[in-house]
Amino acid sequence: MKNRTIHPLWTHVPAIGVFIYLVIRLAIASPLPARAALNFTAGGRPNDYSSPWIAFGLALGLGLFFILLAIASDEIWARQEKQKTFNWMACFDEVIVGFLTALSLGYLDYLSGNEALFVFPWRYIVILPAVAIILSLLLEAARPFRLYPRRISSQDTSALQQEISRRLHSQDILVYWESQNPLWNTILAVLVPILMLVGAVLTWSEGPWVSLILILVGILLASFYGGLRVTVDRKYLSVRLGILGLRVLHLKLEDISGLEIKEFSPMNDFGGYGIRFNKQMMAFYLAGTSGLVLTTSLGKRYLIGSNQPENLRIIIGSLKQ
Amino acid sequence: MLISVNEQSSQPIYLQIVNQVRQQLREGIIKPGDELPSVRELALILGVNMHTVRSAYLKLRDQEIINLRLGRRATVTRIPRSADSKEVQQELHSRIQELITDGLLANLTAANIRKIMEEELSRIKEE
Repeated sequence: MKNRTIHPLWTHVPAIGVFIYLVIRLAIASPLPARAALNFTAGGRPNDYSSPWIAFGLALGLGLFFILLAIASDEIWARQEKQKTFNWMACFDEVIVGFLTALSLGYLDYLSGNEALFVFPWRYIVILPAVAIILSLLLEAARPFRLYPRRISSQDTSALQQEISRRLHSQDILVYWESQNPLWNTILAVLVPILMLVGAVLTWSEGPWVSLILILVGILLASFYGGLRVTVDRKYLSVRLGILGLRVLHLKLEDISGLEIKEFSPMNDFGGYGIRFNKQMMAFYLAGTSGLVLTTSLGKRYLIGSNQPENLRIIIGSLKQ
Repeated sequence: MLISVNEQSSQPIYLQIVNQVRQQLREGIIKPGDELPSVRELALILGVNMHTVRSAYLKLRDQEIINLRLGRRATVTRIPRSADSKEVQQELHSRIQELITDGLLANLTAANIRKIMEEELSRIKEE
């Protein structure tokens, strides 16, 4: 049972059910015409023709993608829970799949009814996602809480303590460095910009503005390549982000009045990863659930995500003295 | 990773970096899979030339302690080799030969060199 999911898969039944319903309706409606109206004006008049499977393929593909994304994100949420908390984002796959299915059913009715104008399927749009969302929220309320068994690894810091005590009183340049550079960050910073660049090239003929926006967003995402780095020297602590090494935090060690190791839940406590805020503090992390909370003499609090928070605490504590 | 550099030391800075990475790997402060800062980043934070850091990283790569890949940070990838490996022993012979030669050229006697080696071995064993 090593790979058992913590978040039960049956909570995704409404989205999966709607998806299967769309597949069945498409199977019954087959064969579809080889060529049909695919694009419409605001008034519902067709202005572009192609294979209807382009539309249905997009709906099926996106629907499946969002179901899988929801399963993954709900699993991450469940693994970070220390007690049952209602996950309102659990129904976002029902929203997306419900909307896509409603739109597809409306288009299917248009094709089979040989209508002159496409009428926006408001009835489907209102009923289908609403039913799926309500079912999803009921299932989320019924979801049992399962504590994710964390591997608690104790850090042996004796070697580091010896090292730092050897070097502390010399005049050497002394620096401690650690990083958080998870695989998803590399994928986001490399793969997605490539896809955006391809999209920009393909849409260039439609108008350069869309392409320019795609390129700019791609460049922004690519700048995150390299992850988060923490550097501590004899005077300062710095946190840098991305390929450009953008300095997002710079503190004097003498201004740090408190150090506390903290276990946290990225989704519950801060709503995600990266540079985050909540009412208590500002946080810098890209992975994991542990870090070091720094309290400054002015009362500001910062959470630095770390895979070895005890090491960071020892380094800062030693260099402050 | 904890790095300190003594600019007044007779030991070249790149060797100081190499020896510290090796020592910390041996002591478990850094572990296989850990990332090291990029050449540019380490050079900037230590205030040394990029070529100095690059020399250190190339030496560590040649000793199969780190893995260097284009466009990515160096990662520690030490795979323990058997103590009986002929390759390990040959490498050790060649490096000790180098050290002994340096000692003799500095007019140290054989007894002095032996004493220094025994002192270092005892110190490391105690740790």
